[in-house]
Order: sequence, then structure tokens, then C-alpha cells
Amino acid sequence: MAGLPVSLAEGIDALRAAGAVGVERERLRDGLAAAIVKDEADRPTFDEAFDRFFATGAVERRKRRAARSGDAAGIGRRGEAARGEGPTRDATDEPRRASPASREPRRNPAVPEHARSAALRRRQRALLAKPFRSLDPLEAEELDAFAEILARRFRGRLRRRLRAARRPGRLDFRRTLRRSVARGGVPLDLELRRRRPGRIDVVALCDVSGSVRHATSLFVALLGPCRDLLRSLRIVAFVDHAIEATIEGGKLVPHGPLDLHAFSDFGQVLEEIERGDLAPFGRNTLLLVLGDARNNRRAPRADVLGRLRARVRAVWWLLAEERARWETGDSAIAAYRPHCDALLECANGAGLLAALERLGR
Amino acid sequence: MPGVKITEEEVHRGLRGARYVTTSRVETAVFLALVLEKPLLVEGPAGAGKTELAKVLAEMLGTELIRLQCYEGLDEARALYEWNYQKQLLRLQADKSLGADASWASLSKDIFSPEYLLERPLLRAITAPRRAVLLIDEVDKSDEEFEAFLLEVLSDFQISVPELGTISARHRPVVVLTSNCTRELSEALKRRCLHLYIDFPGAEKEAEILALKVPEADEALRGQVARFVHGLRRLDLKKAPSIAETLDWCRALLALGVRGLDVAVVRQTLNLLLKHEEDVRKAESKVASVLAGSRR
Repeated sequence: MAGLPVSLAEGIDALRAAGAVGVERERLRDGLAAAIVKDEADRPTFDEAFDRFFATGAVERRKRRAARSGDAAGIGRRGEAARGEGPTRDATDEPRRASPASREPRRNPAVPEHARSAALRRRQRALLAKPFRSLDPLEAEELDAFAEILARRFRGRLRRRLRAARRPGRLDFRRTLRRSVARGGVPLDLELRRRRPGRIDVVALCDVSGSVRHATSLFVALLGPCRDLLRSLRIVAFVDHAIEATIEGGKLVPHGPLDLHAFSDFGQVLEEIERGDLAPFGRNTLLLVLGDARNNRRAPRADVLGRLRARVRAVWWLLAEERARWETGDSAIAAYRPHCDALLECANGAGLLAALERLGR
Repeated sequence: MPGVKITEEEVHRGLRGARYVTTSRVETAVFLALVLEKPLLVEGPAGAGKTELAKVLAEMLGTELIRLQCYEGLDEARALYEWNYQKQLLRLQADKSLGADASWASLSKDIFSPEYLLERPLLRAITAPRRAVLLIDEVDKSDEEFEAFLLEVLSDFQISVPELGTISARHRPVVVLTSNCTRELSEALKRRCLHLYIDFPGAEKEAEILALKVPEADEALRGQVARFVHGLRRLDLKKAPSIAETLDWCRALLALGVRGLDVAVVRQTLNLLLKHEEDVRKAESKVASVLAGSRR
């Protein structure tokens, strides 16, 4: 129905609703809307479709009213097309017409601000689902603007997760007994063991070359605000060599010159990291590598990653590429794979977000 | 199939009787929620009367309102049930000191009986002796995990307590969920609910509400107040004044002995309507124009 997603259950609800409210036009409209429309932003679409299916003289009146209030001209136009389709149809037609057709956000001035934000949210979701590779400059900018909100939400979630992990766990027998002494040996108050996961040190290697720059900028925007939830956060930016960097205002700021147009060279970078004192490694360190592992046919030096792996708690490779493209062309991920504890697909915003959520586990 | 025998006319009169001014859209949704026995998900800006709707519904049906206020970190123990551990322990101690020698089987049956169960809102709504109204307030504030758990309860209206077995609802409660849209609710939850969007009422409706709740004010003042607030909400504010704030303001004006609105009076009392300093400053410069607009 006009691109609204209506599930089977909602279709049945709509039928029952129609049965309950009867056929008086406006009541039927409200009744069906309550059962079908789950997002106020969809209401104009629903109204439009309703008028199309239950076309009467009222449509003309609505149309005129809409035209007067400067409502989108589209409704009028479609209403005209609908008139050709003939008069009233049975309500039973509606559920069957449900189809998960493409849903574009509409900018309708008649939609209240609040509902427009629902359309915006849908737009943001679409943005997150789109591969970084196919973002056009405009969309990339949109994603950048959205990243701030996203980061705030992500931070909240991560904090809650980390705190939830600290929620009371099993019974702490020793402390319970000790407290029970004050109550004549009756353990009235239970002492529960608190789990305290050691906060982790994160070292993030970020490829900042052109091919993965959208992924990197989102990664940095998300991780930046979470700094205080981690024990430490070290960022190393690289293209063909590694430079220490910090996150300032959600943007990556390398502490030295970096040729953004050079060819990525993971082997060289890994070597530099192993050699230098860019990042402290220890049993509590989580090494994140964000890149596409496209090494431009240079030596991958996976053995270096293997040695680094032995020095840290875990290595996660956030691969900014669709799974289908892994191990194709000049990708060196096949060589790195055995040394990674997790290989996570971060081809789009949603993937990257999901990968970072693992920090909370 | 139908849960209660009720007509739309009765809903209309019931809501009126409970002094809740509303639109036919709200009435239809409430009517359907009652007849189809479906949870009603109410969304809309803060202060538009979402929570009030549930309260009024309880009043209309002459039944108990059970409220579950959602917040970050709300868990099942707070929403469903908990064993009253202290009471169980006292019972054991008492048994021991009285020298009663009960077998383990009977004892465990005893201390895991409903008497030692602390009922939380969800369980209370399900075991209520008569059909209750369950208000799950600000469900968007709860965690996603809790939402998933809520789904389970809302679809079957039964809860299983391992020590007691499954408890099913004697009467399916009327469920009203409210959300301020601070985050998007899951599709699954939306699918199971009827949906209702409550926006701020128009100036006329708000004047009607004022007439019901602040009858001491004369009609001219009520109209002026309603139209002014209506105009105020159109400004780009951080937080638009809620209906409750309108009522407060009107009462305050009465207490101050104001008969009609003018720029000076409005400026003095604006902090009753707007609670953000930024909003107050923004509105202050526009009081005259909004007031002029509301005279028409």
C-alpha cells in the first residue's frame, strides 16, 4: 500500500479494526490508521492511500483544502489519477496490497516537526546501511553531521553495557557471612559479588588513505567520546608509514606529516609499530586495525602481526570492505587473518557500529 | 473475541466524564484498544497528555491504574517480581526457634509461595483481581533488552516463575505504552500495538480544557491564554509549554488578579510557561507579536 510496510498481523488488526468501528468514513480512517500507521511521518501517505481507495466527493474537498493550505501538490495529482480507478473498494483489499516497496523520506510541510524527525531517522538508517565506498560527497557530509549524534548514543550504550557488566553477580559468601555476624548469624543482607572487568587499553591503527577515509572518520567520531570509558586510547594514523595521532573534536589529528595520496603499506607500518614506541602493548591491550588490507602488492609482513598478537590481549581487524571483496585483487587479508582474533566486516556505518559495540562485551 | 462490550459512544462519554478533552481520533484508538484487546502505543511531544490518557482511562473503566515507569537500566526484577528473601529467612528462623520440624518438601513449597513474592507492576497487572489499566510510561527510556522482554509479556500475558509455574492473566489488562521518541522503538513492538499520536491540542480545544479544569477563569481570559500558548508553541523553542503548564499559568494569572493579557503581565509570568532561560529570552522579544496574533 503506497510503500507503507504493513505486516500480516497488522493487516489482520486492520480488518478487526474495520469490523469494530464500522464504515463511517472518518472513523474508519482513524481506526485503520491506528492499526497500520506506526510512524506519524507515514500518516500523510496513509491518508493519501485511504482517499484513493475510498474515493468519494470528500476527496475533492480534501484536495481543495490541501491545495489551499499549501500542502504538497503531489496529493492532488495522485488523487486525480485515483479517480479513474473507480469508487469505493473493499477494506479487505488493503492488507493484500502490503509491499515492502522503497521508502523515500518525504519532506512534507504539513508533517509536524516531531514526525519529520522520524523521517530523518529513517534517512539516517539508510545512510548507515550504505557502503562507505558508494557514498557520494553529499552523503558523506550528511554522515559526518550525523556521526555526532550517533557517537553520543554509542557512548551511552557502551557505558551502560560496561556498567551492566559490573552489576551484582553471584553471591559473595565470605562477605555475606561476615555481615551476618551482626545479625546473630542470620544472613539478612546478601552480599553479591561485583564483577569488575578491567578497563582495556585500546590501540587503534587507522588507515587514513582515500579508499577508507569515510570509515576512518566515522570510526574516530565514534571512538573519540568514549575515551574515558577505556583505560587508555592510542590512535596511530597511517598510509605508508605510521604517525601517532589524537582525536580532537571528533576529528583525527596526526602529530606529523602524512602523505594522504601515498599507497597504503601495511607491512611497513606494522614493522614501524613493532620497532617503535608508538604504542604500549600489554596483556590488557586491544589492538584494532581499521583498513581495507589492500597492500598494493607489497609484502604483507603477516609475521610481524603474529608477533604483535603475542604481545596483546586481542587483535581485531575492522575490514572496511564487503565480505564479497575480501581476498580479491591486492587484498592481503588472507595473510593477516590467522593472526586476528576477530575479523569484522565494516563496509558500512552499521557494520562499523556493530563492530565497535563488541567493546562492551 | 471482543474483550469488553463497549461502544464508541460510551468511550466518548467516558472520556468526557473523566474530564479529558480530546479528538475523535483519540477516541477511536482508545475504543479499538479496548475492543481488540491490544496494547496502545501513544507517542507525541512531552506534555501533550499521554500519561493523562492512561489515568483517565482507568478512571473511566473504574479500575486500578498500575504504572511502570521506565528508565535506563530497568530490569526484570524491578518490573516483574522478586522473592522476598528477608521474609523467607525470618520464616526459616522462626520455624527453627519454634521447633517445628517440617519436611524439606513442604517447607520449600511454603517459602516459595505467593506470600513471599514481591509483585512488581507487570505481575501485579496480570494477577489483578479485575481488569486493570497498565501504564508503561516512557518505554523509549528503557534498554533494548528490556523492550524485548516486554514483547514476550505483552503477547501472551503470562509470566513463568520457576518455583511457582506459569501465571496467566485472569483478566487481560488494558495496556497503554507511552513514548517521547528519544529513541526508535523496535518494529516488533510497534507491530504488536495500536498506534496513536497525540499532538498539542489546537487553541479551541485547549480553551475547552481550561474551561473544564480552571472554571474560575472567565471565558475571555481562557480564550486569550489558549491562543497565546498556541502561538508560543509555534516559535522554535527548546521545550514547548505543556498543557499542564498552560493550566498552571492560567491559575497563576487568576491569583494575580489579571483580567486580560498584556505585554507587561505576560513578560512577568513567562517563566511559568517556559523553563529554559534560552526559551524565555527568545520568547520575551516576541511577546508583543504573539499576543497581537492571538487577539485576532
